[in-house]
Amino acid sequence: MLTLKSNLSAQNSGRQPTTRNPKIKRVDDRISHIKSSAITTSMITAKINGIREKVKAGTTISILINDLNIANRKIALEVNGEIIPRSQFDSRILEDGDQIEIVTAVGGG
Amino acid sequence: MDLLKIGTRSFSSRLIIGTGKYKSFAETRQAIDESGAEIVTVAIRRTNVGQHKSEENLLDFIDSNQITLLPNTAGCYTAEEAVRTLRLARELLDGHDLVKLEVLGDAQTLFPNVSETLVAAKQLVEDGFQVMVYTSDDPIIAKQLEDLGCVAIMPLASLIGSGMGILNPWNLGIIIENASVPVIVDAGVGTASDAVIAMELGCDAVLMNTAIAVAKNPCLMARAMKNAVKAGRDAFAAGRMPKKLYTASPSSPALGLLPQTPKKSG
Repeated sequence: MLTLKSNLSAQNSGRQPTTRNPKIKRVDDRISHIKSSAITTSMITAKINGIREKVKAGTTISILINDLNIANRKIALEVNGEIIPRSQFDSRILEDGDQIEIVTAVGGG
Repeated sequence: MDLLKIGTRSFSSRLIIGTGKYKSFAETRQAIDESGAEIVTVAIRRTNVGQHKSEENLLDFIDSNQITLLPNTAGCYTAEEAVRTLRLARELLDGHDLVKLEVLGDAQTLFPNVSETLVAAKQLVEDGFQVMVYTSDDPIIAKQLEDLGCVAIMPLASLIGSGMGILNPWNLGIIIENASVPVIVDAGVGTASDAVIAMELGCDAVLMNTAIAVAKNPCLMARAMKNAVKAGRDAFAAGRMPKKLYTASPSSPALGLLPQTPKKSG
């Protein structure tokens, strides 16, 4: 099972990640289309909150948010612009090229 | 009981506050408590997906049994973005349908784009949302938004976060006069007297964020605003005395005044 951590946390701070999880490969945007099929057949590429990530083929949304440490969080989630209800998190399997947006409530007026 | 009725909900507090710009979530919660607000606004943003399990979240600090959350569309510049944001908010908050729509037109002034706001309002009402809508103080647009089915009209008093107070009480007065849904001043209140003026004009409530959050003592200002909104509401309900421009009227009786001091005759 995947454990994403620091490589994704960089998105909000704008910093480069300091540590990398070897199971997850960040793909350079410029070369991802060429390389993605060559790296491994068991991995797919998805964009999570704007960051391109490699995840294992067959990953469900439940597995993804668990690996992202946000399974117990109040979140709402979109795949390719379509809201996925929580009831479908266990069954919805990510596909190559999926764009995932995960939101929560923050302070605002 | 003087209740504020918005759509299908009723509230006893007429102060709505935002949750942005506070130093900490603990301070946010204290300010909410002091303000007595029963509705607080929140923004919808990408979550930090690399966070620790222990990372704090605003929602952990707001008791949703006591407080009605009002998700907003701050930062949206098109109807499409605003509708998308509020659909996500509804999913996030388990079907919650009371929302604050704001579609901005300009990053410098944060002035509302009323044509996009009208498009979004129509769509959201059709989607089953109860829409409280931020708008300019144009009475015609305010009426159109009401006619589309918005449950509260929320004109600006001055620019968002400016603290410039009530700049055009006449327009607000026209909007209040014409509206059959609550009119809520949203944006521009800087200090307690501004909130009093808004309520004395006949506004049904006041929504503010920066005036409290950026005060040197936010919790004390939250209390001041609570009292100001109450004072203004009571003054409005009581009905103020007519103004006399050029003639004074003594408050003490003219009868029974002491006569001139008697002079001792030599």
